[in-house]
Amino acid sequence: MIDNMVNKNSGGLPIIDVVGLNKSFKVGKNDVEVLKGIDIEIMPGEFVLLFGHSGCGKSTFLDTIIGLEKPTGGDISIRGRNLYDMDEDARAKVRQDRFGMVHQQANWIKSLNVVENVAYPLMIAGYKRRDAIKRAEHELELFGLAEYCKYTPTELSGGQQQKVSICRAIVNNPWIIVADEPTGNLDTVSAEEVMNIFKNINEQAKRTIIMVSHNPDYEHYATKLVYMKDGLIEKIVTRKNVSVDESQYPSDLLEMAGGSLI
Amino acid sequence: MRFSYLLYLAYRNLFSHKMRTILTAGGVAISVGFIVFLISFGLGLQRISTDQITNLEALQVLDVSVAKSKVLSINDETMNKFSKLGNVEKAYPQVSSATKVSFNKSSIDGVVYGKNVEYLDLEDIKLSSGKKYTNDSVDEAIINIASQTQLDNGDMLGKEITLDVVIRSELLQKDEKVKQFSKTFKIVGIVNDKSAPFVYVPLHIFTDNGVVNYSNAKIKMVNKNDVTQAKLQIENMGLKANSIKETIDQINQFFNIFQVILISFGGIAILVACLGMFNTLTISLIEKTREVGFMKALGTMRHDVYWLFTLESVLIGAIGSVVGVFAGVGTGTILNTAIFGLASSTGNQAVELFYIPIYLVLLILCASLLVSLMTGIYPARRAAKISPLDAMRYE
Repeated sequence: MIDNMVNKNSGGLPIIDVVGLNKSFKVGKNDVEVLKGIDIEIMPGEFVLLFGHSGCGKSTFLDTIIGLEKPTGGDISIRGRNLYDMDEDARAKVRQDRFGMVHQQANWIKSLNVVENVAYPLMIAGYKRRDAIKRAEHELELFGLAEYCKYTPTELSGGQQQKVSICRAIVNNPWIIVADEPTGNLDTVSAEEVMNIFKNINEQAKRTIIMVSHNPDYEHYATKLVYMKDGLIEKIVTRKNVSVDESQYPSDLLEMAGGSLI
Repeated sequence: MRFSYLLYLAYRNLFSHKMRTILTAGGVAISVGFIVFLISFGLGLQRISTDQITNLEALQVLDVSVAKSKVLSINDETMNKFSKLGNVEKAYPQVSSATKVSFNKSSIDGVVYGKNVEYLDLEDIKLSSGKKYTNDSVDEAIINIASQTQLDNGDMLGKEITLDVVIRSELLQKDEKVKQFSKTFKIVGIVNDKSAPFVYVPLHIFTDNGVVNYSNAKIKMVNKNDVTQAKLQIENMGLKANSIKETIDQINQFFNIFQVILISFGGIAILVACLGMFNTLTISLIEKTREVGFMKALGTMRHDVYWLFTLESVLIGAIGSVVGVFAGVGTGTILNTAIFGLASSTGNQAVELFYIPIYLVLLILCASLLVSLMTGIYPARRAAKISPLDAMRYE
């Protein structure tokens, strides 16, 4: 049902390769440079935590990685394919298949209930409604959210909403999960729970995670810490080298060891 | 995205704003219903008026006369020419003359028409009693009610009348002067006509007395569509030609104009409904800007967003027009039933005042779907163009 992420020929190659990334915005008559030449390689299975003060360009960086913000200069390749050589719809297709996204504030399609929202990325990809709903239900069950299937998303608590949006981010079995301050609006208990889910997804399913955070307490979750300042990468700390033998990874991240994500 | 899912999503979006959807679709329903009602009213009126005028055969017939010409005449040679025009089924002559009608001791002035049975059939005359003459060579006559009341006021069927006929010189050979003859006929039928007194007799009465030119003629065409062509040909011969078809065409033309006026009223109603729909869609787009941005961020294609908004518009239009068609046809049917009830209780002839053929109903449905599709295009385009990042920053 979900295509295989295993790409045996990619051993040793970065999953995301950023070279000389520049981005400037027009503010009034002036060009404001937000990203000033970023180079970074992210390997499959890494958990990257991105630190930096507000306005240092973290979010813009994430937006360019997922293909929403066309850079002024430089290249971004996802498994060797240059993202901005594609047209808008092709990039949408990459987001659809390869990326899962979690935002600080969960976004919902308001006319759909929880399970339909989780199933939505599968619907975009063209799955049958029944199959998509079934998979979404199964996933919500793994997350212990089965009873909320028919709820309107906004009826749930912040922590629950964030868990549901993680469900939605991984329902299409993506390569990479991009999270922009996913715990920013949560209390410490819920935040801890959410971070553990990310950890499990990273460690058991070996999915690559790129997360923006302000909280230095989360350092221990990451394999790589990236500090940004004024549109540049100030320093990169590799906490743990990740083996990239992808043939050992579960092809469907919902079927990972134990079947429990919490 | 699957089309069925887009449809589902559009339906869910509309369903989550029930009141707004109902009001907008209601606007469409009222205007479509109004149009259906007006058109069925126009068509109903048209059908009533043309049905009253004619039987189908009458549409194939041309009336030919010499008009005011003293030179031209309709004689056997002309009749022959008529028969040779294209697509003529048959041509029938008629002669009319002034006459004195005498019965017992009373006598009146009237008109006598010489015409054969076929001519009577073509005219589709309505007899109040009796029958037409048995064949064209008998000495039988049909009179009208006006003659009967003025002569006797009793039942005159089977009785004999005497006609003193004056034949005008233009009906005779060139050198002959006015001629007069007298003949007795047996009355076989009474025509349901209360105007001036007249008598129908077989044509041979006149030809036997030296008549060579006919007063006028009827030409029956094979097909009613040939009438216009034949009319032109006959007019080129210098004669005057008229057909009921022309009258009907004129009535139809009037009703076409009438329909156009009705449809314009309906069109204004549709326009107003469209504005309402456009307004709803625009508001819904503004409300959903953030949501659409997010949908695109998740990887929804531009054309899927486009179709989502177009489908919402078409769905509103579809709900509205189906309800509207039912309302329009329903109102017409209810009024028809009411008129029927009223007519039968007062002893009048019932008429169907509202009438609309099914193909027209389908046409109106399709047209309003098309209009709602077009209304949806602009908001849909705007939605498809939304930049995901800008939209997600939008509050």
